[in-house]
Amino acid sequence: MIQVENMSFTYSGAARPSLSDISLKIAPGEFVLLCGPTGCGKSTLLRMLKPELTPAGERTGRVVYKDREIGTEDRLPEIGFVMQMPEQQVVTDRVWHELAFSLENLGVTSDVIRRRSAEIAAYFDLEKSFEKDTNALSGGEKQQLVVASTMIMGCKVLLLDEPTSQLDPIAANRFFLWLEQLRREFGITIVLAEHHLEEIYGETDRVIYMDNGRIQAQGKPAQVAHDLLVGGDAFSAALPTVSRLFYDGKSGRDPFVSLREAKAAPDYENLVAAAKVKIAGRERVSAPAEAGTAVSLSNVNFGYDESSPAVLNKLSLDIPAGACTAIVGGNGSGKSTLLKVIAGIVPDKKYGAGKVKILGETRAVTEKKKKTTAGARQKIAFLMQDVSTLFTEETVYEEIVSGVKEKVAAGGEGFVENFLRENGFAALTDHFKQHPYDLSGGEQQMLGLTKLLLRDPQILLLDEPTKGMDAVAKEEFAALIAKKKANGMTIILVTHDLDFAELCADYAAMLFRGEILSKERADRFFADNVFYTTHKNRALNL
Amino acid sequence: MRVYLHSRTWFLYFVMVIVILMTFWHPVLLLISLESGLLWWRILKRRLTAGHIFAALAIIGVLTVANPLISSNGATILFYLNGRAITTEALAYGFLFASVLVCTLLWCVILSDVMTTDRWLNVCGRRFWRTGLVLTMVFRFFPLFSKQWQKIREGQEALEGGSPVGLKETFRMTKRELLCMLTWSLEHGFVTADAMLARGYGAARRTFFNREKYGAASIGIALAIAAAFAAVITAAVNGGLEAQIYPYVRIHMDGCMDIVGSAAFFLLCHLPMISHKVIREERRMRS
Repeated sequence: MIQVENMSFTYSGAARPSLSDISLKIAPGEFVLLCGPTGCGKSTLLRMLKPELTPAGERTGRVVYKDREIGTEDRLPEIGFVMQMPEQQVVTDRVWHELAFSLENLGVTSDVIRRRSAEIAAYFDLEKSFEKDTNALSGGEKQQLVVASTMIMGCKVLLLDEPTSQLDPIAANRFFLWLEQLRREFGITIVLAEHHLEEIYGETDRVIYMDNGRIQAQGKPAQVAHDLLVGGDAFSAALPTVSRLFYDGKSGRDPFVSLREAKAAPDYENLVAAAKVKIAGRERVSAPAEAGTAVSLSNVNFGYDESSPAVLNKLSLDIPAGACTAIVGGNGSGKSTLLKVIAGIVPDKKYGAGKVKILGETRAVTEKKKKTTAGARQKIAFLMQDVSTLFTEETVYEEIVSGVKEKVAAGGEGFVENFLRENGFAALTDHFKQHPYDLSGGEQQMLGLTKLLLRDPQILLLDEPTKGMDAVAKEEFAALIAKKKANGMTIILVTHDLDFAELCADYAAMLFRGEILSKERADRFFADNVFYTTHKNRALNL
Repeated sequence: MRVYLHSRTWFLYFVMVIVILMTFWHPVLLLISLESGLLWWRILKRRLTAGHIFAALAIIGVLTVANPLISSNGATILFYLNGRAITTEALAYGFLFASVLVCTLLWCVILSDVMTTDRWLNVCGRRFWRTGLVLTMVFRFFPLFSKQWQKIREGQEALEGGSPVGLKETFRMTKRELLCMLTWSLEHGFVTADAMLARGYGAARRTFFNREKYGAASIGIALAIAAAFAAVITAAVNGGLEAQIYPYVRIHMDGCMDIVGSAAFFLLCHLPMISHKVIREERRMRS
């Protein structure tokens, strides 16, 4: 279906090529996963396959689609392309118009648009939202709408560039399941560039692993997993938990790529026992000794609109100082609101009762927190979900020093570089002259965190901080959290990423319908839960 | 989608009513527009609150009192204020002007309620598809813009550990928020442009998805609207519907042309309402 021959590509103005000598063939109906560390060239490669979006630069080699070489002037609606940002890809204000938009572009008549949009709305379950405002859809629904309005053009190939990086893990899983269904029912060819591999890895036909603009390995998922694990590649941390957990390198068997496959193995019980021995040494010895309470909420009620029910209900919670507490719970359980209440970032329209006590200072839940006076140490810093809301400067370096210029000047030469190195953000030094928006999702998170940490807060609030981070970056981030804790920083982490929560939290609390149901040591919390638990515990639950 | 009344008929209706309202300044026409406007208010399931009535009375009160203070036209002097003549006519002019304003506002609310974004698109139609596309993108962008601004404000407060204290701090924060919005808007534009290209924009000669078809009712009512409008204008040209304020207040409502003009305007205002189907369609949209 698609063939790439000896292709290299260098962005105009760039010193190094982004793609070097890429050759690959994609068969009709194949589901191909493109993976690799941030900046490995997977997005660039995808854009080479969609002539309308091919970036400016120097290209050698050729791309052939259905036996015809395609150039950048070609228009190929048969090849659909879905990007990361759901918000920015929706063009019009109504669901029906979003579907019609694609067909209007192709010059289709009204009668045909009427029929096709009805047909696709019925299949994609958009009938109820057909007349809805697109602004009223959730991120996951928007991304589905984008795929639906791409599919309506009758596309044969779907290229997806990290389509779930802006979604929470639950919406991301739903999206993948749905993609898999689409392929099964229509046999469309899918090429997916993705760094979150846990669920989708085992479902694909072929995996292409890229690094430094080159294809390093490709083949069946199990085979590529084997190559990565044997080679001890850092990227192997991104492989599904079952692949890593049960692989011993001796038995000669390929790694498992899905939990289903592992559980079907005849020696599954032995594997679990061996895995438990393997990870026993790595488990955290104990939570740090409690150094008092940093944040305390008692009997807190909070809501946004008098006519709607309260988001937080009689919530009481004590957050120990110098430890990391993870708050987990489903969508809409009030996690983000809880963080906002603690940080004192509340909208004008709100109601509530109760008090928040932060490091000895008490404030009503409905009261806005005022900025700390100059000279005093900042008590709280909060990394919100959309980290780009922090960026106001033209370059990464200016962004880092913005607001803390005095501190940077006092630190002397090399202060910023040292600070980044100490915190494991050295990767940012290569991008000092770039615009913050040109960084990858994971790097943007790093930049946001750098800004926060430079303000040296006593309490750090994190809302879904691992969104957009690849597996390697997550491990480094967990190490950073451990270090900050050791220095006495209190960390409150709100996340859907349970594997990450287990990796770095000392305590875990479950928020359900605006109430804290339980708070206990993180290891016990995840070991006891059957459904709401980490991939590791799922794999080890016999 | 089969609709009973085409968007363009609706558009014609509102333009005709508002144009007459703003041109003639005739108390009888104002009363008719107020009565029919309030009827629409009910049909569209809007609630009339004490706040609305208070706002209307406040506009009328303030403008009625304010006009004599800046205008001394008129022959009937009531008294002198700081050497300035306060006349009955100037008071009447202020009252009439305020009433026209209130009625026009009332009709603008109804217009914005009835003319949903879809209807505006259909008004633009095939010939003005670019305007239509820009409109739909603007309708999408505005709520997104204010939502993002809120997010940026929260993000900046979260970074600095609270909301700014004092005027200088607030000013600096607002400046940062504006910069942030600018970058975000540009970035948003780039991604949206790519998304449009990916979805075939520019690949072929664009068509317009026409969801509405002209039915007999749409054409019939449109013709009736045009006829009623023509009747009002004809009546006015022939000396009807004259409302003179200066130098004396003189409202004509006794000639044949006054009666014809008012009746035509009454018919015009109530035209789409005479059909149960129109009312049902509008109410269903709001259920």
